[in-house]
Amino acid sequence: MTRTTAQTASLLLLVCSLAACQTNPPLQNATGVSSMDVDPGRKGPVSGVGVESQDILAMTDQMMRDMLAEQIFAETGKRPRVIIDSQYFVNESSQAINKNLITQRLMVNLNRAARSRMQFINRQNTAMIEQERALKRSGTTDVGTTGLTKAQLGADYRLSGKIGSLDSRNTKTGMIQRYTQIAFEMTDLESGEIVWSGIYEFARAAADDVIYR
Amino acid sequence: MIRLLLAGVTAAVLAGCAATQSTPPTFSGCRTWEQQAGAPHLVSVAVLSPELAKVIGVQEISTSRTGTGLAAVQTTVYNCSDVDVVLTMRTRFTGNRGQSEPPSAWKTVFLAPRGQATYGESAISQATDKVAVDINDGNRGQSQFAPGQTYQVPLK
Repeated sequence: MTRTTAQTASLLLLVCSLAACQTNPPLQNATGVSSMDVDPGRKGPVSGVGVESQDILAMTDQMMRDMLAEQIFAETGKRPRVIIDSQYFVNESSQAINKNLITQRLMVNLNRAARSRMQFINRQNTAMIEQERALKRSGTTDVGTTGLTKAQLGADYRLSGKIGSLDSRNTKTGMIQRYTQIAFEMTDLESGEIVWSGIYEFARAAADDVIYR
Repeated sequence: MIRLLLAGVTAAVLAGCAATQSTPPTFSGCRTWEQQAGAPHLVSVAVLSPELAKVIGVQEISTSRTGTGLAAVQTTVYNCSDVDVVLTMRTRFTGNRGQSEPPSAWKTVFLAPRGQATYGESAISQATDKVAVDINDGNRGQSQFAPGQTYQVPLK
């Protein structure tokens, strides 16, 4: 092989190697971060300025305890009927959040802690209940084991609320500060009186790239 | 050449040291949790962060009953340093037969420099008759144990 041919071959080999590098770059962070169980009640490894799991747990716990300290929900033998769902829970904040996370957790915890003090009405699934009532009354199914009732239960109180936020951003440093306020109300469905209200608020600042969904 | 290299390495190491924060100093006369731990009137309080124990103290812990007859606790904490401190606090509830209800959620408490704050919580079960309070560092993330890892002991 002449010197020129050898040089050309070496050059071609080099070009091919470099081309291979271009089409198959080394995988960034190939080992990744292995999954870990985190305590949802405390700040996790990915944390930003918005509502996170520790806030959901803290606010539902706080509201539950506050409600149960209220005289209208005391152990009197008479169990007021309450609806706790997200239908009248409005998100006016800058963060996309599933409101059911808040209301569902609140309802479950209250139900477990205070069944003897409150009756919980499922108004979200009225269609499901009506369907079964129709089947029983038409004779398609039997009447079940708890018998028939004249009507579904009417409610005394209903939960409503609002989530709001206030954002500020430093364009030079990229730091964002957000104040979030979550307000809860229990309204008397006959008179319109707000019989209980609670608020959960916090402010956080960070310059981290965290996306909320 | 070697001297230049050594100087560069030393500078890099010192720069790393400069970026690490140390525990803020406390003002004289202020008893921190490190000095208080074990006091008979504070046995129901646990400060879970060793760094925090050098900076905050617990004034008192008192129990009472709410209007609906449930156990309630109030704990007053104070800041011995000249910087803001953020705590998370929660309550554990016990009755005659051990734990009477799940612990409360962590609540954030802000302590201004040299300031005081009161944390309160109430039980949800009539079976609760004893309470205990945990205090943790609000700005500290979770650190995980993983086999094979070593953990830095906080410097005294």
